[in-house]
Parts: sequence; structure tokens; C-alpha cells
Amino acid sequence: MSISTSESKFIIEGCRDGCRVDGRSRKDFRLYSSVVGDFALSCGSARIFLATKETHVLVSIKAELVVPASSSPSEGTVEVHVDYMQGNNNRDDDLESTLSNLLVPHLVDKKKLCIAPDYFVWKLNIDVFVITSGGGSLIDACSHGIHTALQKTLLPSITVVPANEGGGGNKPTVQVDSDIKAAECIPGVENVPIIVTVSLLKHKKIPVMIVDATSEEEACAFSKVHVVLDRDESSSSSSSSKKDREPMICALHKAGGGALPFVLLQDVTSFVLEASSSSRVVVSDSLHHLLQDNFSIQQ
Amino acid sequence: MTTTTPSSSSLSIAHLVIPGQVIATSSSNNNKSDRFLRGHGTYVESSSNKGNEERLISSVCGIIHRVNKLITVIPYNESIYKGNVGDLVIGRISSVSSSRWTVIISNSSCMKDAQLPLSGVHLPGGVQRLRTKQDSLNMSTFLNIGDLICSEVHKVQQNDGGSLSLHTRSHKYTKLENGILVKVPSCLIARRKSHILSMINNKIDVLWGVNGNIWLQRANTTSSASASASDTIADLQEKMRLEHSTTPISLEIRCILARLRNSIECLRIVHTMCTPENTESVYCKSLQLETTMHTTQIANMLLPENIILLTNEFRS
Repeated sequence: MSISTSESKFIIEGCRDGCRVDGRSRKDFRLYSSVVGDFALSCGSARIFLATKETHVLVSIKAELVVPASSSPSEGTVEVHVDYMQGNNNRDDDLESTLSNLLVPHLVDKKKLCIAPDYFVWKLNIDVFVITSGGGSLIDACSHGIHTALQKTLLPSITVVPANEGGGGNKPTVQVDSDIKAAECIPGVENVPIIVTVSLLKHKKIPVMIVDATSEEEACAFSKVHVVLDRDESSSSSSSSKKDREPMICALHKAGGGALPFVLLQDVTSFVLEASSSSRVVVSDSLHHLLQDNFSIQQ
Repeated sequence: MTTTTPSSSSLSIAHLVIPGQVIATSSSNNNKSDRFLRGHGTYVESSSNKGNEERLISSVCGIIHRVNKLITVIPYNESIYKGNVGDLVIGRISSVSSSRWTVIISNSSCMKDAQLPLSGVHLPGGVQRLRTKQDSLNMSTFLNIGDLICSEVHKVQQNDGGSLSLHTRSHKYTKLENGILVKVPSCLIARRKSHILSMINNKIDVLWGVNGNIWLQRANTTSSASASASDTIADLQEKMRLEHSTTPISLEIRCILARLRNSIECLRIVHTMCTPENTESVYCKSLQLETTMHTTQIANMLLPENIILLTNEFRS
């Protein structure tokens, strides 16, 4: 997306003054809404969209039983795939690799995806489907989607029949319980991290930092830093057991070309921690019903 | 005559067709005067297997309108902007070629880009003269890639898939600087007498582009300090534009612009006509909410519950 120099000046000055084009301050997030469990055939799914409907992402998680790699016989695998709706012009080919590199090591404990070492482990396929991405900060939306979908993912309960029992020969076999009530959540899934992208806008000597940039603001940014935050908020229990735990930074990634002074990273991380403490990222599924009741669904 | 049209018998009943639906067929062996005429929203396909049959097929979803042999389909919902001569459109320059600029005027990829020829702009200084080679070399200094312009539709090319040719030969039409662009579907903008309006106690100028792009900027105040008696109107215009683009915007004006932008966004989200009246009413309502409830900050206008509150009267 190209943007004129005058517009970019306008946007940057607005960010400096603390009144962005849509009235937010530098540290304000936009509201994301989500609907869970749309797809009957996946183990867990989420649909996430901005309240303004400019960004719309589907996430589906499918689990399959695979034979583990011989190098790590007791670890499951997680893979992230990204696909775009046909006709989506602003596709970012790095999104898939960035998402996998940043999130996969922190999503779930891979040891817990093991069923029978050397023979059966879970493989989680996370499919991200971008329908529209006009609202900017696509990677943030995707990570919210993955976060929400993983919370709701159910794996069927599995009993391992040891080798030489039940006619399986000298290999263990598995029995899958088809009852949905027996299915279980992935253990340790409450701590799935999210990505917060900080866009740095050039203004004289000191860059202006903003979170959750719109696509226009992204066009003005000279650099972007993805910060992976482990916020430790299990959606329902957070109110009951309110822990004053600082969010933890799991990973940092600078997107795009160009250089960034190393000292700036310190500012970026402290800015993110500050912003996320007053975070307005509300992921709720009840909002959708509110919307559906009151809006005629368009487009 | 072998033409068969479903709409021929009863003109009073509206026939709805979908894209790809065959409206009429005729054999091209026949006398030329017997055949239908292709109107807007349709295309002709000649199928080779059934002799020399020609089929008229709808290209949009809409209602068949027929005048004698001319068959047109009037689109039900004009979500794609279709140009009319005289429309005010706001677009972004996407390329500069030898004697014309290419302007993106639609958000969707199905719309062709419009052309702004060098002869369609006023050169700086405002003198009427032939365009020289030097001018075409200097084109990117007038308007460069990424610049936003406000212009008028000059011509709709009929044989070129309806691509538009624009002009900016009036003092109203200029390069747009120091403001906010808001994009809405073009069907939410109604054609009206004037598309350039002053709003919010004449503090803000709003340009309602018929193609769905709306431009918000601080009102252009004429400052007499810089104007001298010898200036022509064109010089004055140029000075005003420069002054407008270089004066920084105060925080107060910036907040008004942001609130106005969010008002338009509110209307867009509920898919209601974005008229100046509706926008101003949403704007005022959000101010009221702020004073009574002390909660609605400008950014919070776009929360779903607030959108519902603000646009209550427009949703039927």
C-alpha cells in the first residue's frame, strides 16, 4: 500500500500528539471479537475479526496421530499454515514463517502431546485462513485467533494397548474413545502467548512507537517489532485468581529490512509491557450475538 | 425473429437475473435488425456448437430493463462504483506515464483504474497554454505516486469496459493534503448538489467522493496576510493550498477530525447511508454521550455497544 508523504506526516504527527487517526492513544488496542467452534470437522476453531470488520481471520486446528521423528521419539509436533482468500491483494508471504518461528516453540508443551513414545504422538495442524486483512496488524489478529482456538481444542481420549496384547503384534495399538464428553483439552494450553506488534514511526530523532497499527500506520512505519507475550490469562479464571503477574516476553522479532539501533529494543519491550498492562484486547464470543441481533449482516 | 426474452411478455414485472444467466438468445444468421442490442450489465457470447447462436448473458445481479431491442441489467446493489460524468471522485495516483497519471479510484480489484491526462490539469500558475514536452517530464513534481487527488469524471469510455477519464480543471479540484481519508462502499454515498461541504461549525471541510472515498480536512481559512493585490485567483489558490498543507494541525482540530472519522465508520459498519446529515448527527450524539456518561472517548465510539447506541435512529 502506497501512501503520500503528506498523509504519512499527518499520521506520524497525530501519533506523536497522542491522537491517532481513529482517536486512539499510542498504547490503545482495538477490539477484537471472536466466535469459537464454527467448524464441525476440526478439533478446535476460532473466527476472529476487528469490530470494524476490516480484518477477518479463521483459525482451525486439526489433530492427527503420527509416528514421531526418530530424533525426538516422545515429542509431538505443531505446524502452522497460512492461506489467503483468493483475490486478497495485500498478502504477506512471510506471515507463515514468522508465525511458526515465533509461536510454535511456545504454544504447547510438546512432551504432553506424546501418547506412546516411538509409536504415536499428536500432530497439531494449525490452519490460518485470512479472509480480509485491511485493518493492519494481521499477525496480531492471527495470534489472537490461534490463542482462542487452542483454548477450545479438544483431543479425543486415547487408551494405549501395550504390545503383545489385543492382537497388535509387537507394536502397541491405540483405542480412540469416540465420545465427545471424554475428549480433553490440550494440557498447559492456558499459557498460549500472543503477539503484539510495535510499529516505529520516524519522527525527527526519536521514533514514535505505537501498538496495533492500522494499515495506513503500517505504511508509514520504518520498522516493526513483533513481541511475543505470555500474558497468562486463562479467560475465565483470571477474575477469580487475580495474580499480579507481569507478562513475560518469550520472543522478539524485527520484521522487514533496515537496521534498528540495539538500544531501542529496550524501549520497545518496556513500551509493550506498559501497553499490555492497560490492554483493551477483549476477546469475547458474546459480542458476536450482540452484533448479529442488532446489525443486518452485510457484504 | 428468433429472439426469446423472458421479460418480453410482461414489462411490468421486474425480472431478477444473476451473473451468468442467459437473458436472450438469437441466431446471428438472421437479419441484423432482428437482433437484440447489448446494454449495460450484459455481454454477448456466441456459442459455436449450436449453429451461429448468440446469447446475451447478464454480467451483474440486477433487474432487466428493456427498451425495444436494447436490453440492460440495472444492478440491484451498486457496490462497485460505476462512473457518471460530473461525479466528484477521490483517488490515489498509482503510476505516472508519459502524458497521463493512473488513478486508483476503487477499493475493489474489479474496477479499472482511471486516467488523468496531463491536459486535464491546471498547470501551476494557472496560465492556459499548450502542454510542452518539458511539462510531461515534470509531471511527477505536480502529482507523484501515492498522492491523493480530488477530481471530476470527465468521460466514461464506453468501449473500454467503462474506464474513466478524469480532469481537475477547476479550483475546487486539487491535491489533497493534511487530512484523513475514509473509505466506505460507494453505494453508501448519495449523489447530491454539492459534494464539498463545511461541517462542525465550519471548522472542517469534507469532500464526499462518489466512489466511496471521503476526505476530511481542516477548513481552508483565507488569510489575507499572504495575499497581495497583484495575485490572480490561481496564485491565491496555490498559496492557500500551500499554507493549508504546511500549517500543523492543532490537537483540538485533530480530535474533531478523529471523531468525525469515527462517526462515518460507525455508519459504514451498520451499512447506512453516509450523508452529511447522518454523520453530523452521529457526531453530536457521541459528544452528548461523552458529557452525560463520561465514558465515550473518541476511540470507544467504535466499540459495538456504542455503535449501536450512536446509530440507533438510522437503523430501521
